[in-house]
Amino acid sequence: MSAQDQIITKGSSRPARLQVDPDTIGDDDKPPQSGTVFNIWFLKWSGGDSSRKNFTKSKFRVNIKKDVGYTKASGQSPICLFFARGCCYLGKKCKYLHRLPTENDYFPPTQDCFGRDKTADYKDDMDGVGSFNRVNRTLYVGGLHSKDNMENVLTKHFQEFGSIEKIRVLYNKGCAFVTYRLEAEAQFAKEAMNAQSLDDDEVLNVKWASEDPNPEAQRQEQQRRENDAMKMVQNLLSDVPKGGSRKRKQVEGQAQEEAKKAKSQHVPKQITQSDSHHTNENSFFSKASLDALKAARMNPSKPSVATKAKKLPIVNYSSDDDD
Amino acid sequence: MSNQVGDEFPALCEKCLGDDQHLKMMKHANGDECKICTRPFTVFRWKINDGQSKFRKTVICVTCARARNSCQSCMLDINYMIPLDLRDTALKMAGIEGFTSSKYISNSTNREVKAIMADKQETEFRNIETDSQADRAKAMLEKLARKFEDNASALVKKPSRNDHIDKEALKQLKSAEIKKLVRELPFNGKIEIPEVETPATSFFIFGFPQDMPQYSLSDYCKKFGKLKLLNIVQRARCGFVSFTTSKAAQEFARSIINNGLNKNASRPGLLILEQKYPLRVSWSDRKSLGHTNEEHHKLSLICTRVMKQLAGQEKKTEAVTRNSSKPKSSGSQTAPSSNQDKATTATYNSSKLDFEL
Repeated sequence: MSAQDQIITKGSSRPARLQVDPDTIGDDDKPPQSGTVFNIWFLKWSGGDSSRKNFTKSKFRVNIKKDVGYTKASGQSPICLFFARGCCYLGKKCKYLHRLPTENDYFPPTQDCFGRDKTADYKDDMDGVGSFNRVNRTLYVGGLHSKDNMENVLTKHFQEFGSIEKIRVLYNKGCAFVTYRLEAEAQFAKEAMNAQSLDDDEVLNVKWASEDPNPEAQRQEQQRRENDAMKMVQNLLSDVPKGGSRKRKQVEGQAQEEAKKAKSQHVPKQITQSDSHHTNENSFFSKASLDALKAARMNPSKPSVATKAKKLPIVNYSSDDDD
Repeated sequence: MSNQVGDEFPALCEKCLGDDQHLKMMKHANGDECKICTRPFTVFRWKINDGQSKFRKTVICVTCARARNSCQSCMLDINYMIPLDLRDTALKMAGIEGFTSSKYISNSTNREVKAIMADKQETEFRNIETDSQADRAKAMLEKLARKFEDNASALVKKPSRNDHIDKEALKQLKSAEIKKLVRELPFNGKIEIPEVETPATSFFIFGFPQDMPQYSLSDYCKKFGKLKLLNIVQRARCGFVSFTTSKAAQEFARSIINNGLNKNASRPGLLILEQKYPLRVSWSDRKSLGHTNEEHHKLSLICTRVMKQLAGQEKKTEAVTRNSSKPKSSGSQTAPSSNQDKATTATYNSSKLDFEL
């Protein structure tokens, strides 16, 4: 998988463009005053009249076509947050990816595509990194100037960052909901389009959407989740035969020496009772069904790992065996 | 001894532990608060050799992880490395009680309540061995596999289109209300390519199901050329698409005429996307599609009605051209709803004059 990613990143033959010249960055990055006290940790003004809080338009904006390129990042790295905001001054020296998230990328569910930790709940204003308890592919876009064909305008600006599944505009409220196909695309678009403007000089306010109260939409979401679960179970059942590669690790490896020895001899030295239930892990499938599943295997994920597991006899040792 | 190890060792999945046989971890007692239950817990930090320089660490406490049978670091299922919500959906579909029984999931946002709930869990999950948990997971997959083999098709719910509700709503819909909206929209447009050279580039698209993702349409259209405009309102089940060049637009139209589903090009052409999203296409310039929920809902009803009417007309012409005395094939497919169909067609015909310009 990492090799494949590398091809994707290295496939773009150009180096990532410098989005901002480091020399032009001023020493003082205070935004225009909108409060009484400046919080140096959050680079924000606080206090004062919150209704007067002016949303200043961002000075930078990512241009995917121009800015994508290879960096020093490897396939597993997260995506560069500053690249998404259009202000990475490191260019090809950046340690993070300068490209869009794709379907094949793996981001742990506890982090977003920029490698930031998610929290259990959303912030009260639905801004920020988001929650790990819900897969949210929908963004709230506020601050629209209502025109007749907002769907088209939003499509034009938001499809740059991924496949749009649905756009719903609330004309009387001046806001819209944009649903992407992937969660990572929504995460990227949220950073890329926040404090940007569409065709006019409005300043968008992009946040996470809360759950759609429309029963039809909820039914669709449920349907989608069930389909995903179905697909996943199919994959899982077709992958089960490669089990038995279970291993145990300890913080203080008491069995280091023994294990080393065993490894060098390529012989599992300690086969004890505790192994038995690991090794016959797949025996609960009837043989016929296993064969059927094998035949119907949709995509054998991680073939490299599977072959590796076959070649190397895995040493099963657990804490019970050491004493 | 094993009990102690169970207390000390974090619940982590294979993926998070990496491929190496040996691993160094840093332990920090009460180093952070659990992201789920907000109680302090022992944090472990380690690095694995996957080309990424970032440290991994545990983000939730052992109790929360065991209650969900998840990894403490990536929060995927610890045995199968799959997302928890998908796992629970799958178990629910199979009618098996999952790991996360609802009494342990607190929806409270209050920190104290969360912590108290977690304390209650603690007593139950403290003594659970990772091995017994693996057994439990294995048993569950076994059950799931059996269910799956028995009735794989039964688990997939058929999309229940609530047509009968639509029909009732259709009957209630008065033609006067929709007149204004629909007058402009070319429901009886055509798909045939004009013989005279025209600069027309845009199409009116209607009748697709509400759950059709926008990208499946735009991806299909992009095969013919760059899009200038894509204005799809899923709730109203209609929208407009326009190409930058008239050449691309004509190619798009030609592909629809020739896709084998359309006999009469003077009607909106039928197109079926990804074998599940039927829709009709006709030439038209962009018009307003209404702004409110109500307007969109009514438009979607009209779309349903017109789709049915067009299908009915096509069936009729087919029957006529065949000159068969017994319309067997058409009757067998839609026998139960044919009466209703006729009724809606009749009402549409009666109000058709309203729609035409």
